[in-house]
Amino acid sequence: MTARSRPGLPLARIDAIDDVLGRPPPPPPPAPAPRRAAAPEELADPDQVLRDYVLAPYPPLGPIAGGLAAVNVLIESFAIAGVEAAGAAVLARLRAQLGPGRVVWGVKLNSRGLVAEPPSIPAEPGSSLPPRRETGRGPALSWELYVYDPGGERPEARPATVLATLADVIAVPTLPTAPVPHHMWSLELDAATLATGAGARLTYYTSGADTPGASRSYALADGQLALANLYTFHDPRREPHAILARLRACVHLAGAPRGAAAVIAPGLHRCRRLCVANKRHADGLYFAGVDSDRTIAFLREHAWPAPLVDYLAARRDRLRHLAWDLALDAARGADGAPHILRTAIHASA
Amino acid sequence: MPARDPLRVVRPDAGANPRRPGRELLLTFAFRCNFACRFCYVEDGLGGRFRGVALDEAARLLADPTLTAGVTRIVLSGGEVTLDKDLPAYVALARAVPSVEHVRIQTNASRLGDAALVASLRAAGVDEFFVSLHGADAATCDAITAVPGSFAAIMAGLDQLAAAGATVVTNTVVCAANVASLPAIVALAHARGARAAELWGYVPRVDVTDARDQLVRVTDAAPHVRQAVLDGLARGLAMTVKYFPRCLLGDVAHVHSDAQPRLVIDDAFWQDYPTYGCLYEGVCAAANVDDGCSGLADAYVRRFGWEEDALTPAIEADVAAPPPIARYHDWDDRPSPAAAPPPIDLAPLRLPIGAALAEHRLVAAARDGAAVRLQFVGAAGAVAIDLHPRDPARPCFARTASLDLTHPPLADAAVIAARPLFAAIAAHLAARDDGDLAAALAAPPTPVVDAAPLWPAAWPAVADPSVAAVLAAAAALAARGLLDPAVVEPSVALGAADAPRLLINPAVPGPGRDRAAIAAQLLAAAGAPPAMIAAAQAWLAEPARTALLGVAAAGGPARSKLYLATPRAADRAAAAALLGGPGPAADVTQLAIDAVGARVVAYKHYAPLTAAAARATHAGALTALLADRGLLLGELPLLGCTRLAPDGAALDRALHVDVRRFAQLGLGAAWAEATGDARAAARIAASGRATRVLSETLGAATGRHVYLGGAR
Ligand code: SF4
Repeated sequence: MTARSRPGLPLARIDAIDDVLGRPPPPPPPAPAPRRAAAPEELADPDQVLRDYVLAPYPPLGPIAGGLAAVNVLIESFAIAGVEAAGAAVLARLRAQLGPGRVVWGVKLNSRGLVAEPPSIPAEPGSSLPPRRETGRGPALSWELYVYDPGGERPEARPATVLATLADVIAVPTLPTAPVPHHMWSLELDAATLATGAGARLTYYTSGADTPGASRSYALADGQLALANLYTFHDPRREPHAILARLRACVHLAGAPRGAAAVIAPGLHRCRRLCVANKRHADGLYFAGVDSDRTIAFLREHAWPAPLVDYLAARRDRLRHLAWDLALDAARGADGAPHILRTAIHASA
Repeated sequence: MPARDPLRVVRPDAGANPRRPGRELLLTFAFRCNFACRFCYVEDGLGGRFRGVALDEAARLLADPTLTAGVTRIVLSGGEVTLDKDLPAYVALARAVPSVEHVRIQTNASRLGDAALVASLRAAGVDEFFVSLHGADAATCDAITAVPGSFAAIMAGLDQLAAAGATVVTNTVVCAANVASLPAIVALAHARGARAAELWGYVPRVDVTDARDQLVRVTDAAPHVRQAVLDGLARGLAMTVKYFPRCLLGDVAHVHSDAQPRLVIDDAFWQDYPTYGCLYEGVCAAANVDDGCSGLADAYVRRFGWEEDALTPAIEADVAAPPPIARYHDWDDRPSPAAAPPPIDLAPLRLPIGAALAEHRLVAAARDGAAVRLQFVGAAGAVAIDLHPRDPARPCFARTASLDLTHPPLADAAVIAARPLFAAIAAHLAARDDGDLAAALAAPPTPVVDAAPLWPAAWPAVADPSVAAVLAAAAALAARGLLDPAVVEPSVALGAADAPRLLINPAVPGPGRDRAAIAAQLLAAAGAPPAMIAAAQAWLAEPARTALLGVAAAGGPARSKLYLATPRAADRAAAAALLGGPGPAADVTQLAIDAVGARVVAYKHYAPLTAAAARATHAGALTALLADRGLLLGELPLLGCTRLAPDGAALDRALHVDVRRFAQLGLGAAWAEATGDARAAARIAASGRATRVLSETLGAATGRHVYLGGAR
């Protein structure tokens, strides 16, 4: 963190007293946990710029040499859900189309069934949107792949062009005939989409000079666009008051006995960028630039599948250069307090 | 009473932290205790898991001047140190550190009712007792310590210490069981002879979920803590509060300090040390000072939350005014760290580092005011000897023709052990001092003027006299600590004859730096017109303003340049008035003039560009190169430059693309390669410098430039 970062420790330490005392180094770490994915692990490329979930470049947090690429976590999540081949194929097409480092990916865990019963989601009168998938029964992984095209600079990133390259892998949605303004669009996939080719959901994201630091998303279903989410982006070091004001205006986050701590865990307040999102049935937070240790703790705390958490934990040292982008959605439960419905991890590939 | 800004408290003597050389050192060696305080981590958290620092290790560590230099207080802690038979030996080691004035033990005082023990500890060299006192009555105290009779034992210990005239500081952990009795505890401490009292918020170390129920809501505790502090101050006690939100202390916030001594402890201690934070730490003045507020423990946040409605940060001034945006180069205006004191040339003493003298080795030399301190290490420990310019009134152990030799206070035994060294150094220096040694030590070494770091070593030497003169002037300034080599940045014109070019930022503040004078010196070396020099001086006289200077060989008189950053409208107007020329548009964020010799040849107006505007006016080789490397114009800071003749006629337009964030892509060499200038590509690659900016000028003639970073 900038602006005179503070050590996490209130006591000052003398570094490496073991060195001073001439004690032997600790034993080497145990052999890495097995992985589910069949594809070979992808090594980090020291010549490639690391980018976060808005494709903003960031300096490596540790040495890259010998490290692993973030995309291994995505591939492992596909494998854990039993859809490695289809997931990897979609990703490969996108990467080939967009170039290295240009695909932003997110793995999401729907926590329903793990926490208190969620509120029922009312059907919207007159809406032809399909029911949200997270009304399903238990924890399940799903994915979202994001394509950025901020200034309309990249013809190869247009939805029609990209979807055409995926048409033989998954069933792609039909696009509106007239162009839709956007700086980013995304495809939401779940195991069923990847296994059977059932329809992937497409979402457009827009931002403009009318609302600096904010963006909106519109979900496409049956050829119709519906306002989905509203996002605002903040620097948590400089704008704590703005963030708190946003949280106080989120209906789903009101009533938390511990206030902001219900959604901002210790340490996440030091993330590089914090986004507050208002969604149709939840309010969400996105924390950009979280190191691997804290990411692993976050995934464990939110009961992510053990094989995926173990994958990261066993390779902690080879993932140290990476910063991850974490997210959570919370909704007001019957007790009036927010409950975590969904958590997510993002990076670029 | 409270300082003007009670939240912003900096007390140099409060302790040490990683940013400041330490005055206090805490050594831990006895993780064993006869109490079992409910909030304590020693027995179940540390006992058995960690080693204390063994006596022989302590001897080695405390003889190491890199650890102990400047330390004035050593605190011995455990566990209960009075249970360790080696305590007197540790005390002796601490006392042998030359700079140490106080040796403190942290103790529960339960064994100090024994007058003989107190006397022996005082004789060994303990002069301060940091006594844990967690209750004002037997019921509360014994419940916390889990030892019946503990309160009575502590009282007996305090009384014995008072009778012996020892300095006592009490330490109270603020926890659920005692929070309401904090004022009574402080009153008791005063009644039993304490001179100071510290109140520490509970540090949840092993108990990360607060299963022991020791945490108290800070909003509930605050009135009791404040009352206890006020009572203590009224009784004349020195009060300190730690690990409690400073902003909840109101008018006694000035007694808060989270500073801690440097800690010598088993490395494993840190693995599960609790972390602290505050939602407001990025904007709070109290969080951003040396002994600042740590905020709340993670365990606290998990149990009670961030207390965002109760905490009241004092907003940092620089947060209220966000930094100006859209600047050309990164105007690297962070104050440089205080210039390091000039190194000491030991040659006149004929005593290099590592030299042996009377079975001691010289390990370090440092300036201490007008004196030079020589740090020796021998079998018996570290010995410091100070060399002062002669002063007949100064007590000293020896004098030479121009020097007085003294040593910091030492225990008698240490003086006896060091006597051969004192005799040897006195003889050694006396034989070499013809009356000029003091002056030789005082004079800073002659600066070594070396332009090599400023100009890439792999590049041919600069032949152009003006550019060479600027480099020499910059090197001389750098050698005096007045200019960072990193702000001297070469650039390369592509497809052109090899003409050396430089940009220099003279405006980085720093100790002793007169920015206006530095700019004037560099521009004069470049042969700039007097009006340009005067404009730079007038501009930089204003501390908030920044400027860049440029010089480029032009095959005759050099081209000199002055760039003024104008992020605000007022700056723009002021810069336009200073430089003259055509009036700038409202979006201009930087104004510049170019001169050849004494003649101004062009005015330049820089303004940020959107990606769309850049594409519209500059769809050329540069945008193609960036697209080829997978970079989008929209993600790069873009600056457009309009060059105008003195009569206002537009000469050409340039696009400047800031690519610093993509240093690893080697874009400078790639840009040279793409334009067909293989020689420039090789030079850029060989420079070892990061590429900062690529520029392309489109107009009557195409010009292409690569701006490189300075030496790092
Ligand atoms: S706002 Fe936070 S950092 Fe500032 S004084 Fe209060 S607790 Fe400490």
